[in-house]
Amino acid sequence: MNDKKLVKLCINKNQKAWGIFLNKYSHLIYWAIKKSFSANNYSYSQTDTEDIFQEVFLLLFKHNKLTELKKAQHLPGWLSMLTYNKTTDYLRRKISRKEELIADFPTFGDTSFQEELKNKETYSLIKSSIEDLPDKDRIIITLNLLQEKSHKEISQIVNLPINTVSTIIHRTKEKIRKKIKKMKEI
Amino acid sequence: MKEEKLIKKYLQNATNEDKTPECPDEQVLLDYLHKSISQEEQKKVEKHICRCSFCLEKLSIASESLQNKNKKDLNPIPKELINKTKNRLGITQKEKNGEENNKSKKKEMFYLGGTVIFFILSFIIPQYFLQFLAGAVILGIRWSFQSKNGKTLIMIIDSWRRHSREKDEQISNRLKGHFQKKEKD
Repeated sequence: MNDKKLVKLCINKNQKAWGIFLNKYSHLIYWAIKKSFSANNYSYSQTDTEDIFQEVFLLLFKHNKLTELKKAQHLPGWLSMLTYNKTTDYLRRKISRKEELIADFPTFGDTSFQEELKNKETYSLIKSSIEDLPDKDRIIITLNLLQEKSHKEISQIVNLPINTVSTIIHRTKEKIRKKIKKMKEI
Repeated sequence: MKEEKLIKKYLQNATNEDKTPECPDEQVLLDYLHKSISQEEQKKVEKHICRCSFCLEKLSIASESLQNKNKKDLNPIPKELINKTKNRLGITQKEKNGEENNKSKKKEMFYLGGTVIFFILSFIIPQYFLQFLAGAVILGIRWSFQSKNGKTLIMIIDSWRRHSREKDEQISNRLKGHFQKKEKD
């Protein structure tokens, strides 16, 4: 049974179709929950995973969330996005938002005034370098450094060849490195 | 390496981590992923996701899910959890009932088919006429007990018989009473 037919039957609350849906997509949802937890740096327990798993299916079944899916061929991606939303909601409820994000640029312990000044200069230099990047390049560097994605994964997300992605990452890092070096020399 | 750390720190501070009203709809992100979006829309999405790690993370999970969707072995899931979820949604019972219905229908068709085949064979092979006929009768009886319509028919006949027996008794009692009264008079 293709996804279009399956979704249609599930929306009409066909019990057999829901059985098939559960067998076909529960692995994907289970994987997406674990992935979402890792993305949020949360060490999860089995109970956390099971709670969200059931919440996602309740949302799909009782609230007929599948009616919001516009293209049935996008079902796997849509389900993983829905699971990500549900997991972040769950985390928001469970833990107060992490405070580790520093409002200012990091200062390195007890630094002297001159060092602090240097940090601020480095900060503004990095800021201007990143802000000057084209949007696509910034996405690539964020995926690479923040989300630690491989070049192949990034190329699939941004629809660019791997070589291009590698070049952009290398070029951006090198550019910033050179700027910092130049600043230090001055 | 130090530069990388600094860039990472800057990106952490400069990207939005939570969902905002500006975040595009999931469908738009999926269209971006599947390249089914206009260039203008694509630029709009990129302008947003380069500063929103919430949407970027969603996009990368969706992208990865497309590679992983058929790899069930990579994502083993406890069977108990599936059963628990089925119970919670109320799927199990009905699904089981459905399976049972299918099984009984198959049996019903088997008996009916057998009856017809045996009946035909009894005419084709006359030397075993009685044997095939007996087989057809046995399978026919089994079919009538198996099929819903057959069961209903048996119940109707049974209730009709019981009903008529009761009525017969009532009439005979009434007649007895009538005659007894006449005798007394």
